[in-house]
Amino acid sequence: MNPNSNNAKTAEKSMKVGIKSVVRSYLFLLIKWTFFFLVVPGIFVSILFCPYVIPFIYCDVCPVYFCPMKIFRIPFLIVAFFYVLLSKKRFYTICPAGTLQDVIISINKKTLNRIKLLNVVQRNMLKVVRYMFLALALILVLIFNDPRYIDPYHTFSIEGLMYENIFYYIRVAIILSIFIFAFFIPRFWCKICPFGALISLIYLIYDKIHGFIRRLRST
Amino acid sequence: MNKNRKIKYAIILVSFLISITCYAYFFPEIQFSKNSKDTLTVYACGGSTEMLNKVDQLFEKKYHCKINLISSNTVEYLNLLTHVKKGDVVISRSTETPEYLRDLGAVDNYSIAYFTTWDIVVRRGNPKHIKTINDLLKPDIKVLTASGASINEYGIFNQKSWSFVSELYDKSYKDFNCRRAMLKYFLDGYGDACIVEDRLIHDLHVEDDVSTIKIPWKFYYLQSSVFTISVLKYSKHKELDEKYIDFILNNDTVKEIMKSYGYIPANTEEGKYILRRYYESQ
Repeated sequence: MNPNSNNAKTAEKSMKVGIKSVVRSYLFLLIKWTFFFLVVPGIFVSILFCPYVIPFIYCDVCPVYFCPMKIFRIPFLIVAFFYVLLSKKRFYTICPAGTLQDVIISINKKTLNRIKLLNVVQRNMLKVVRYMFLALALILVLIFNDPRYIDPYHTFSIEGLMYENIFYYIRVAIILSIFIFAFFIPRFWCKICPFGALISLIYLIYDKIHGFIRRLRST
Repeated sequence: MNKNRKIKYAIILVSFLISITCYAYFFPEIQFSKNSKDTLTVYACGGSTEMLNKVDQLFEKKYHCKINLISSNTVEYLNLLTHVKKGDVVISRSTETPEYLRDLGAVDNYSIAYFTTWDIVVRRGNPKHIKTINDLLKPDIKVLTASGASINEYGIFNQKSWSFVSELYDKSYKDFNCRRAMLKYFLDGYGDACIVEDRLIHDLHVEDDVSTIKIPWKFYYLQSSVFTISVLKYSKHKELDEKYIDFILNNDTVKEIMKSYGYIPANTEEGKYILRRYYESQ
């Protein structure tokens, strides 16, 4: 066999792989930014208007008609699930809240250029906070997120902005402080995100089961 | 700017355009683009969409116009009315909503158009011999309940009957947030009885699969069963609006359609009786 023809074939193959990976990365970018533009307005609407203690749980019965999450929540989760399954990438790569933080940090880079990177101890401390947030979120959803506590008439008026509920003010304070922190620390919210904690727990369990099956097979 | 960066920005632009298209397609304001000269925009809430669709078809034929029926829950259409301020006629559940709209300056007055009734739904042939609402409290009767924010038994019954409702919740076999889901669950073979609106049985076409026991009017909180109709002040088709309201209130075919869907038109013997009772109770 002619060695030159072999070389040509490998070159052709590597070119095909190269094109595939480029197309894949562009597709990934398209999904990421479409999610960003679709969901980010929903994040802001939920900060101001969401009548529930924890947003994005009861969107189907929520009276805030103009909230994009009412429409885009389920398609987003379905596409995200298949994206993670098929591309084998982690969820944070397309998370709209993560992309928003990337945008915020890039503003910092171009203006103040004062970015603080966390050390291992700080990151581990935030990990503890993250799981505490997850536990707290689960408790709040189960106990205080009952729609019967909500007066829907408040949500379409100016009073809706000043929702007379301590949880509303706590939530707004948390989210605003997160935006401030995210301006200086890259992806700050991701480090304490309860949804992220839930996903990482699922990954942890999956890895353990996968490892166990592999060990069983090898023995 | 290098080639990669250009492609990246192009992709961001494309995703922005996709998002804008999605927003334009899915958001409710888009429905107002249909609001033209010969199109009547009617807001309706409370689940009478199926019946109104049929009535609207008749009206469209008779008056050679089009009806853009926006069906949503009360809060959603109140949002639309407060922000968008477009539309012609409002059909709302309860008299509280048009009174609220009057305070907002959106309507002048309203008419009571029709009533909905509530039934105890039992298995075909009533094998558990349920005759009155008090029979639902018997220990061997499994009752499905709905205690959601806007749909709960407290809303159906007047205050005198609230102790019955609490007892019913205490012994609930399964609780729901949606009456349609509850009825479907019942039809799957779970539980012995549940309380639903008569129109729901017609909507799901299950008249032959269940038996119903009417709840007497003396137990009702009448706000839960009254439907009102009113013209919006900013309507541009006042004449057509009046015709529509007259059609809903007085047309005999419409009354028959309403009855076939489980409603009681206000302008009938039974309707007038309820109306008298309703004003007595105020």
